[in-house]
Amino acid sequence: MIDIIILITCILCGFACAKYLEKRVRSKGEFYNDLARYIMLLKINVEGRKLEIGKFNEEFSGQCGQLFRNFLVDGKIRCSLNAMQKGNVTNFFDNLSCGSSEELGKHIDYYGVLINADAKQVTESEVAKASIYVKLGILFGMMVGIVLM
Amino acid sequence: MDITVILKIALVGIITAIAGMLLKRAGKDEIATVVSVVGLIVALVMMLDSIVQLYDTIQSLFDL
Repeated sequence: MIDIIILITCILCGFACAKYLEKRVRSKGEFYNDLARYIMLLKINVEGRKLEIGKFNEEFSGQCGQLFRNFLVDGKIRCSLNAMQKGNVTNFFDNLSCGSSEELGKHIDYYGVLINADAKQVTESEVAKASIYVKLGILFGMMVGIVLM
Repeated sequence: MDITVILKIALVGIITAIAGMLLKRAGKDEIATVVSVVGLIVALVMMLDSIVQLYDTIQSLFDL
């Protein structure tokens, strides 16, 4: 009886860990989707509405995910990005105060291409394969449970 | 030797194989190899007790 309880507990722990990892990967995908949308809308803003950046950020915060909203507020990236991805995001936001709207447009175009490529890579390779984590978590939980039985 | 050890080793082997297959399909071949090695080590650790018993039996049998 105890053995079965240990096995079920290990499977549930494996499932919970896997679900947490899957959530982290999906939130990274959501962050990148919001970032790509932000860049697109900022470009439209620079060419058209010309809202001040603070007001634009405030408006965008109402239509994005929690992770990106928190990032716009305090500038801290709360998802796991590699050094290159983090560098692209940091450089984009650090150099938003350009001399002219033409310069800003070029800056947005340049980093827009880089960040869209990162977003595509994250969506295709990581988010699409996130469902595998749950299966692996259950399998590893089962393995640990069998060893402990 | 208890039959449950054999069943446990068989289950660990099946789980390792399925995990390896899932990882290979996801394109993570290196992690699949690591998982296979870990499964092998787990199975060997589970058999360790029996191997020690076998060694002691041979030792006592041949007065070594």
